[in-house]
Amino acid sequence: MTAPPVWQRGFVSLGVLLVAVMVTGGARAEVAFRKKAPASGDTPAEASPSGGEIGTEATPAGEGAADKTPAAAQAEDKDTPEAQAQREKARADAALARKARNAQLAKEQDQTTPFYQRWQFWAIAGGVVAGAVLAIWGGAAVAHQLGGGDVRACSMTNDPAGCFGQGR
Amino acid sequence: MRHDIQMGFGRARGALAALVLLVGASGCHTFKYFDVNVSFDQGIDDGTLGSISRCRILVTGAESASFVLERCPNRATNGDPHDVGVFEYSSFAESGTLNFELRAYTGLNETPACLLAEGTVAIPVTTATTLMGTLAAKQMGTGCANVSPVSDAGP
Repeated sequence: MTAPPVWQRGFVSLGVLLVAVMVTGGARAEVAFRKKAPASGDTPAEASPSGGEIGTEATPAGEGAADKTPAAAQAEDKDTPEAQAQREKARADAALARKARNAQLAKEQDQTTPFYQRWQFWAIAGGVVAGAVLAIWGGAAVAHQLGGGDVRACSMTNDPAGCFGQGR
Repeated sequence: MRHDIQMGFGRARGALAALVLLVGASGCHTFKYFDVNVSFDQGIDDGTLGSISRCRILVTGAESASFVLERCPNRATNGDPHDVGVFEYSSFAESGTLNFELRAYTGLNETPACLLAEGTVAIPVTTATTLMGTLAAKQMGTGCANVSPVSDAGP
């Protein structure tokens, strides 16, 4: 096997160099494209990190966060069943207190409202008035019917001697 | 307030119950009509009938009433003075018998001495609304038209 000629090795070396330059240059160009300009002044970029920097992409939840949580914090975790029960009890107590307060306010408002501004007063008053009208009108009609109703008219043609008796 | 409303409803129910009891206790009245055809005996002459000044009807039995017939005797020029006609008596009687008695008087006083004619009819009360009867009066005396003065015809 013979060694390639010099010019051929030179071409190969030049090609490898070109490839290396192109790869390096493309990577730098991508970093420059992704890099975000500072917000204002001389504030460094780390003050407002962007997602464009290599290695700063968001990591999936539960991976990095779990890894970053110290063991001591987990030991001091207050999310125990007892604490949860206490929180629920506190919420229930607050709801009860709020309900009682609302009831108290409604009662106070009901006590301070004048009777003539209550709908119950007008409902009862209207019912009483309507009932009285119906009682008078209906009572008169019932009394009239109890008294036999209207006596039939007297016809002097059929009864020339006159009409007498009840209702006449 | 709810207690007041309930009390109001309770009172209304009480008033309604009282009304129902009142209606049930009093009962309903129904009119009955007695049509009585009045006439005088054909044996009474027209002149005697002309002396009649007053015809009183006495109702006895299931009801009591007294009234004077408006047209007795029949003085219409083209009519028969013996035929007085029909009078109608309305009543709430539901049972028993209604007795109608006609007393025709002469003079101004309704005294036995002035009684000229008399007649009665008894009509039993049935379920019918209109009940018919015929009352025929017969001469009972001469009346007191000839008594002078009239006030002498006292009892």
